[in-house]
Amino acid sequence: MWNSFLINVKTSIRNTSSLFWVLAFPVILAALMLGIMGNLQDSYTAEAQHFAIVSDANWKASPGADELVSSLSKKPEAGSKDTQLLIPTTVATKAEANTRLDSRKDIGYLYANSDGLVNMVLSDREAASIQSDATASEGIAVSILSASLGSFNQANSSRAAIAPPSNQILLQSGGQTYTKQIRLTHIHPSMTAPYFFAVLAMACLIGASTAAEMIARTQPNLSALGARQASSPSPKWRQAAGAFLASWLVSAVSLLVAYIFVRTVCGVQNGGRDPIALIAIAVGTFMATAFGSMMGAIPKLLTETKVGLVIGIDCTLSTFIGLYGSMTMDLNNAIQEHAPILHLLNPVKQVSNLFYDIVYYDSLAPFARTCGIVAIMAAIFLTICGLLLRKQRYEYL
Amino acid sequence: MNSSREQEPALQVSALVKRYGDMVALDHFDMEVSRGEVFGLLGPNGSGKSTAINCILALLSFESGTVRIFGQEMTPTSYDLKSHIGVVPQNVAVFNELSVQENIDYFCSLYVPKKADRKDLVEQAIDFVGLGDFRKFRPGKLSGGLLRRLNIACGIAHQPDLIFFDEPTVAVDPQSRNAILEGIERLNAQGATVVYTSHYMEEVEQICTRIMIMDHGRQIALGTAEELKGMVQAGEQVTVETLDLQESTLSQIRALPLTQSVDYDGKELVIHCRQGEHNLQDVLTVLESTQTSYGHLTSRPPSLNDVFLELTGKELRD
Repeated sequence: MWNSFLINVKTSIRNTSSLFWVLAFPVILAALMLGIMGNLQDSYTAEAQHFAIVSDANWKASPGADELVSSLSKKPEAGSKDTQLLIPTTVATKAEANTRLDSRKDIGYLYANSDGLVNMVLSDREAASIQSDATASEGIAVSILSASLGSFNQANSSRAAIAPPSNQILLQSGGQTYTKQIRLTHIHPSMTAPYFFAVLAMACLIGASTAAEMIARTQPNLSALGARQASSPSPKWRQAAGAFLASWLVSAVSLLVAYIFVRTVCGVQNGGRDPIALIAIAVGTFMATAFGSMMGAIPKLLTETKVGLVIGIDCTLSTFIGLYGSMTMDLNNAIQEHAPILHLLNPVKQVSNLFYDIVYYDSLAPFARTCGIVAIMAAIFLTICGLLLRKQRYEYL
Repeated sequence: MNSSREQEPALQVSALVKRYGDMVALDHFDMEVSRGEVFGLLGPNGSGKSTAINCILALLSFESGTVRIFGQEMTPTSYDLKSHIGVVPQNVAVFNELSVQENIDYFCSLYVPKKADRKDLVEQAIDFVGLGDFRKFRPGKLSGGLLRRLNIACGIAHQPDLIFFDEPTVAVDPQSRNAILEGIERLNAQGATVVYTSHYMEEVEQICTRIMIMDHGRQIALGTAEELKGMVQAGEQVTVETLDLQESTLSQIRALPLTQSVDYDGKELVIHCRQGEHNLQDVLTVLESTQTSYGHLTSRPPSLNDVFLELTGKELRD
């Protein structure tokens, strides 16, 4: 068995085609995902926008207006999660502000009316742009600015009605002083993490192709190599066990490389739970190897067909866990909500859940439960594999 | 090998029946190979040779019959017995990712688990097939002949007592073929029993002590090459270069008692004779009596190929 294990590891490492799919492809996929998700992340980030401030008599009379602008245009300190929304330029009149809009120096301007309420004017061009893509950084900044102005004006109106000016207090509140963020998850995961977990899950199941290939190579009915090995005094179970262990090792190392890439280059956090992630990798690749072994043991199919089937099944199942973008992520969520049994039966989803559970829960109980599900899947696959291999001989004329 | 079994034949196959659905691949097939023999197994494509070998090696199940090797019944779990058997399959069966030395070492390890025990065996196998200069090469870098030699080395490195060679010289040049045949003779001289299948009759005639011809899953002839030639009607083939052969002369030749068939294309006369001692003399007598002038004249004794074609027919198989 040891010799079979060593030879299978050696042949895997030296097989550049297999190595590409198992080792390089997941990293490339994660890198592509990083590129796509990086833009997505950007699209949800508000960037400071150029606005003119019409500092006329009304503005000066409006209580707290200058403080509001000062607050919104303040550059955040290093490490702070605050965002600068405004890059203000003070002008004396609306006409001057409009001139700046025409020359595209600003995307809009703020002015105060005679009631002391602050209003925002956007250039037509910018308004149309935001309307077509509200998730662009300008759109988000304008939305936040609009909400801030609304809140400011509402507070100003209330103050005028019930109390003497106390702008400082109003500004300090900012709608946040009286709220508290409650976090249900272990850490604050990035919104792109599920996509990277989907990549890892898909990469894990791609490892099954190695197992399929190695197990098929021990079958006398599929290759001259299999026939030669089967005619030796080395029992078939030893050769199959050696192939299984070698495939598991290769898959686990490959997935570990992909995981390190996702953690370090893609920046997906797991709250210091890397040792548990190693368990997830071991459990996930064990199940994937069992799945590949089962596929490899199917009689009367060419090895190439089996490998193709494994990859095809992997890619198909990955559709339901959101690998291919926001539409498939919606599908993933819909299945979770309406037909969770489908996710329970999907090995790719369960591997994805292994990583999910580490990040999203304080308790390790969900992770242990998923490990149990994956172990049951592995046991089923291995049982079928054993039954298929048990009586296979070299049937051809 | 157990001394009490030393008198047993190396291989004994009795009344083997193997079916694929309705098709009978082996029809009460019998075969016995004595120790120290080089036994040739001949048959057209689809005659059941490979099926027979795979049944013998317990790679195939069969409906009825027995297979005994060195007196022991062969089963898929006869691991002790398998350790005395070597197989050189028809298709080259090696790992493309491993070097020559690693391949031989791996296949030897299936029979000899301890590395220290097989180190010398691997070296001897490399020397035996003359791959010393290529030990670090991967199969993809080897020529067809060298690949065949590697295939053989992987099958014999553990020094088996009984070796099956399944068409080991397919698609190799004459030099490599000669080297392979000499190697088989050396293995036999060292005590190995060999079962050899091939489509090359001259090879079988050269190295095999006994030959079996099988067809339709059955044995149809068995004996030495000479014995097989004696079993058929085909005798020598006389070829005469002549340009002025008269029809009357041709009729006289056709009428000779041992003439089987005559072909004449205006330049060359080919006479297929039955077994007999005076064929050439009779032909010469006719030519001289009719004053036919002739140039080159040859007489070729019957070959194993003639025997094979007469026994198995000339119609094309798959």
